[in-house]
Amino acid sequence: MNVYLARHWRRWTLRAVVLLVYLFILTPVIFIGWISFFSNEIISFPPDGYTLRWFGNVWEQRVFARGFAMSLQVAFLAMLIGVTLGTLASIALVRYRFPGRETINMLLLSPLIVPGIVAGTALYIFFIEIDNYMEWRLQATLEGLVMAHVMLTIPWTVRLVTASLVGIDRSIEDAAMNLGANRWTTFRRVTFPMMRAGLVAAALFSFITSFENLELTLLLVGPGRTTLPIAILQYLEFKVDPTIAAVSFIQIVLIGALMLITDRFVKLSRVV
Amino acid sequence: MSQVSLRNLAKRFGSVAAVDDVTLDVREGELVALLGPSGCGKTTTLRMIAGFIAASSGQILIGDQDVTNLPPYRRNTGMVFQGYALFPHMTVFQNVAFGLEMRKVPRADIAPRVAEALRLVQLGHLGERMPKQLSGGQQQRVALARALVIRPEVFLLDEPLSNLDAKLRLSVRIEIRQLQQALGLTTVFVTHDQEEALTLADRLVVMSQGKVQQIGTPTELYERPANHFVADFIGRSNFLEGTVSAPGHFRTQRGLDVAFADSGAGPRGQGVLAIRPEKATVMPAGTGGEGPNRFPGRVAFVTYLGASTEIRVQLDSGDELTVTRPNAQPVGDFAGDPGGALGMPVVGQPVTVAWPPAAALLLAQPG
Repeated sequence: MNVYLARHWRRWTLRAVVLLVYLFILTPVIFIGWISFFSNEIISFPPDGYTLRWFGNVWEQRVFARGFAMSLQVAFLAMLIGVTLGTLASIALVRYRFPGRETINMLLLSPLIVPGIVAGTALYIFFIEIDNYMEWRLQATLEGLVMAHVMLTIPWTVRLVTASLVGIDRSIEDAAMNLGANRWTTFRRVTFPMMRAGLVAAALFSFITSFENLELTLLLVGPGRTTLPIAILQYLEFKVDPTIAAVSFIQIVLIGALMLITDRFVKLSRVV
Repeated sequence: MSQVSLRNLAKRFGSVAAVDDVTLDVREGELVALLGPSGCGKTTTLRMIAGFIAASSGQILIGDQDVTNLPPYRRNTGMVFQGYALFPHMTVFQNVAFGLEMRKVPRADIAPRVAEALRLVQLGHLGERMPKQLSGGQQQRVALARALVIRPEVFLLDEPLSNLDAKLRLSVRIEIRQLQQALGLTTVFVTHDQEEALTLADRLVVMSQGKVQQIGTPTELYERPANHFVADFIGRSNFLEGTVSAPGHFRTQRGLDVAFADSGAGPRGQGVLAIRPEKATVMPAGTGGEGPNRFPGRVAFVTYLGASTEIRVQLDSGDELTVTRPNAQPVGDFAGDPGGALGMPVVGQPVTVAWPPAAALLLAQPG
């Protein structure tokens, strides 16, 4: 009886803790969604009523639309380049033994550790210096921003693709070669499909990391060339109304949808 | 004509020779097993035949062709891997069809050939399944079908039974042998399980530390082991160390005088006598007739194994010997029938151990 009670208690305590953690994580998201429909301009509780006008305002404030387009562009390019480079690096790191392998691995993962504002400042100075010596303007350009974001996305690709490569039984590739497939065909028909889950996850996380990055991007944008998170920040400097909530809500819904769609093709829980 | 020839094949990793001067001819339609403890170089040898590992020196011939420097995909071998190595993202049908696609077999011919191969391994109905939906035994058969469908010149098997449970292993073993014989496949089979090798193979290659110890039929290896390692690795043996005192006479270190069938081929001076446990007999002291090699001793340990009984005897000379005795007659309850003809010997009981001179094999001192 006592054993039964103890087990009962333990189960309910666990459930309560899990519920609290979920609440803790989801509360801000829920509130953002809720606030974006408030009718009063100064955010206060309880709301006077509900309206859709903040979503209209998001559309009218062209900075958001332009920021969104810029973010989309940067994130897509950074994802494409980052995943390609990161995958090649992962193959080298997993499949070959060479001096400095560990160091390179650490180096490729380090952007995860360096605070974004520090990396951003360093890149800003670096870009200015490049401009000084080579007359190649990178600061506040699309190329510069993409380069910086590639650096951000590489650790994700290296982590995820390395994990999926390590999990591949080498004898499966041997089997393909034994059956008459040369190295390239083996990669195309056997290795690559087995890496697919890791690659999709890497692409997704690279995209999201780039899309929502604020700190690193802060110093690398210029007037008229801002990403969505920076557009939000700049708007906040002058005004605090539910427009911010509405734009954030749109972003959350978009990224959530992206994850759901990806999950239909690759079970994300299996690779992350 | 031999189908596979290895000529002085060697693989060195730095200063370590994983495979050392292996020469072997596998005849057409023959099943040869590479047998040895782990790390003996048997798998390395197989992987060199398949082309996954480059030979450091020596030659590999398949048919008339020197394939030593060809990549795996230019050698016509069909390999079954230890973990099956099925393509996880392809259906059973696609797995089997892969080799045919690589050979540019016309699309119209692929389906019937895959179907035939799957029928051969009794999986005709599972073509649309994914590998992970199959049991271990079924995956094994897919691997077999995939290797066979390309009609390889050589069939290579790397410990194909080690991932199966004991019961399944026995039936798959028989199936592999039947397939191999029905199709007349030249086969090289790697295993560390001597029973598997003895029952499956036409000939065995016993390897140790990269070197071939002996090549022969199961009977040759068991009855005429070439050296101490083979006598110890294939089946079991009692070993008596000593010296050849006169032609046909051997004196153990503890002073036992043993007669053996001396062909004159064995070493002179220092040597080892090997006696198989089932070739010696134990009888209660004072019974049995006269003859050579009859030694008094006491029973030291008895293990009843059902079909046979294993009796460890401490000879009066100090030498120890294990004898297995088939329980051909009903074994009586020993307590009521001590030392009787049908009873079990008891520990401490005085006995006589005997073996015919032909059962004692003279071998060179190990290492």
